[in-house]
Amino acid sequence: MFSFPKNFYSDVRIEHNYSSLIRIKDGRLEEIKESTNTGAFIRLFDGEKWYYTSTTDLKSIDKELANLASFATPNPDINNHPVVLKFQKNTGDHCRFEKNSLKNISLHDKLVTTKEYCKIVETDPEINYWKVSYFDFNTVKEFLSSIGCNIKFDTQQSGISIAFRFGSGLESFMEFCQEASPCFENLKKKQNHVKEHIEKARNFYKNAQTIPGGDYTVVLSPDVTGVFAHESFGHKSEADDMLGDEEMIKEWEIGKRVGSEKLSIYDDGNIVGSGYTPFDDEGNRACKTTLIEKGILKGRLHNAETAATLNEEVTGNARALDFENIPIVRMTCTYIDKDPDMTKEELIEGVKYGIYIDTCKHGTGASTFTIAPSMAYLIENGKITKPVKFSVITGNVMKTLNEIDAVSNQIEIDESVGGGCGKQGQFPLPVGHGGPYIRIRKINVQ
Amino acid sequence: MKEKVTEQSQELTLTILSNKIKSIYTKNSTRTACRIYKDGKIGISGCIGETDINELYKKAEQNLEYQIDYPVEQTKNLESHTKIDSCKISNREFYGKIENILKELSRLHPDYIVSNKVYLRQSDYSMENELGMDLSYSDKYILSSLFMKEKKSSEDNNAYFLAFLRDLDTERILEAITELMTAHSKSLTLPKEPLPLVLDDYLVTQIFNTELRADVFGTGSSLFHHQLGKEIFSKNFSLKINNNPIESFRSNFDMEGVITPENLSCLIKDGVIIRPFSDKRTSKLYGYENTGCGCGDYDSVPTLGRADIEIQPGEKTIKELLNGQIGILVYWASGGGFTPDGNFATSVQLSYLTDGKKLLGRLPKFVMKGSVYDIFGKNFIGMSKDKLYLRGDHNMFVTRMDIKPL
Repeated sequence: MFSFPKNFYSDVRIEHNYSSLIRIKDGRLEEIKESTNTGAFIRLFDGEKWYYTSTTDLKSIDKELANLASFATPNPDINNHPVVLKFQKNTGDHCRFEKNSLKNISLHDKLVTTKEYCKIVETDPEINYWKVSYFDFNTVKEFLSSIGCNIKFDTQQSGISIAFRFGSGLESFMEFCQEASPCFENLKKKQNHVKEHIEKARNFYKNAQTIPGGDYTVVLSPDVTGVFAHESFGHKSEADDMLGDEEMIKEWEIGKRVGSEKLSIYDDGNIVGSGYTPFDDEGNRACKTTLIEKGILKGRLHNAETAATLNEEVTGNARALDFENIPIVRMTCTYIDKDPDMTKEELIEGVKYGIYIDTCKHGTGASTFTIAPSMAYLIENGKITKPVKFSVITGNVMKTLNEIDAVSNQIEIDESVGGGCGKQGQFPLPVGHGGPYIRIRKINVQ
Repeated sequence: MKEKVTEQSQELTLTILSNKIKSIYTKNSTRTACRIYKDGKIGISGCIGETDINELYKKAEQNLEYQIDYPVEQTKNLESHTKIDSCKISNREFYGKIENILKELSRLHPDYIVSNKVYLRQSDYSMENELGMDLSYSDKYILSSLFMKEKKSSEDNNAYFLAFLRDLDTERILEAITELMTAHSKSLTLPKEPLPLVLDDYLVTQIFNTELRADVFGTGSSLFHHQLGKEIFSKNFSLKINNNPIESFRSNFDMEGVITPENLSCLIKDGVIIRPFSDKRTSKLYGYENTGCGCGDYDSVPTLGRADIEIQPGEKTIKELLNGQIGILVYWASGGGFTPDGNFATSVQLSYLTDGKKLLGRLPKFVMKGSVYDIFGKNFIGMSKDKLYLRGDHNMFVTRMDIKPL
């Protein structure tokens, strides 16, 4: 236990971080490494301002706490401050990966698995450039606060990422695919997915045609739906953007219609996978937060401060990239809900002329969102036909959410590793996202 | 052979909420990595925080067992020390000045809320080895990332002031933000006639960071593979590796201890692709010149990564490049991309009409698109010799693309 200074709220987050990386490019082992580090992020609040520091010297934590207190103004009533009242007093050891920690798997085993994936691309005569990477991390966090929170929990993820190129010059095409799981053993069973992905990419490379820009009906795959959920509405639901902004608070009043009847979006840090965050970096428990239900705004993502300011409940979304970063409001696993009454096939059959986006490179979001597609296809008379290429789909978030007219009956949550969300420069924070197939009546394609 | 890499940073971060400093974060961090080279292999071990160097070297030596090929010469007999100390401000002075700027912005622009973050960062980086390599870079600078939002607006249509600075010139900053806010408050319609676009080069030059990589070139898979040595862009267009720490806010040496020779820094000259960018291992593998683009984390095996590239500035100012015309300053555009055959498109989230000196008003969101061959070819007007302070103090380039309302 630490000497938390009196008349302040303070907390300490200690992280024990393990990660490993293997990179093989065009058959050559370029890198293999394991990293371990331990450090602490320390916060102190006097009711007016927050004071932060971080250290790798765990013995100095008491000294650092005292130092932060020396800059702040004592507040005898701090424990009744609305922000402090939002901090939970959770306790206990909630680690779930101790027995199958990725730390305990040898680099040799990881290398053997990585090489199995290399075999798929290195023997393909049409692939002229490739890179196979293995990433993993295991993080154990301890969180202690001046009001009695004392928890320990862990998160981990592992994955294989494959980048490959076909062709040359104007006829070249580069694609990525990734397989990820918190359980290393699961990675050994995913080679067939990669083979299928490569065959789709080969077909795209050989046959994709440019299409004219304009407004199209667009169907998104579950993976792209997840990116869309994250970029189009997930960022809008992060409540820190609303602090001090009365107009935004009025505009985003709970109960307002913000999307079509077909649209429900959730964020849930309890889902084991890329966005798994059982407790946030303020010690608060993860929730399943309903952001939109049948098109109606139902909630938003909070840390203690935003919840106190907007007089709402905390949702466990204060997240920091690592022990050198400030926790800010971030998503965990964000997904669009399914509609049990519509199959994927029925959803596509309803499109006379449109586009299906199967994979994407990246996306951005605010009031305007963008998604840069990788592999996309034309839909003609209810059937997916030929591959097409274009640079971006974009639109106003609110208009687009109202254009969703169908969602399919199965959710797929995307598992990833090595990438993530980059809000305020804290990249890459692991997040999960997903959903069913969704259909958007009108979206701008360029 | 032993080699050591050290990164030290001290940072003060102020979080701003509604024109007030809400939090103060002081960070000191040290990262050290030791490398051992033996028989064409490399072993590395790194640590965050205080460490026992001998232990790190021992682990690095153990890591040679992974047999990572590194069959290139290590940098030797090279000494270079860069110390940029024009930013003299202390943490206390920085805090006081930022507080004053925020108070002044509240007074001058009561209709706006200012928020986000400002940073004061001291960065020290060094590499040394047993062969006489002794390189260091020390810099102190300010990163301003201020968002200004109209109080009456319910949209997140912020104005921004994003800039790396070495001088917290209060008057100049207030002047720039005032100009941004004044233009921001004046909504205009998107002009019907095609106007030249004034852009930060990073936005569209990203394609060269993937397609001019020496490994992509070497495997024959680059978009520009068949165009090496050919004039495919405008004669006004030259692209080079930015090797100047004052401009780039990074060291002049790469992760392999290579300082890009001036004669190899140019990748595209007068519209002709001259060379791809490379690191040591890729150069050896494919026979290209090493342009000093070895990248990676402090404890990584150096590898070919992104090059810090810039369009070579020309002889004209932004106003001269516009040649009496009005142009569109693309202030914020993100999320766009290129198709495999080099067609670019993006939505433009924030833009202003400009005469090349002053901002005339804010434009609605739109989409811009064009081919890489046109953007830097027949439509390329030039890269400015002057810098635009209110857009990050960057040189800007002027070109034409198709634009359509969003």
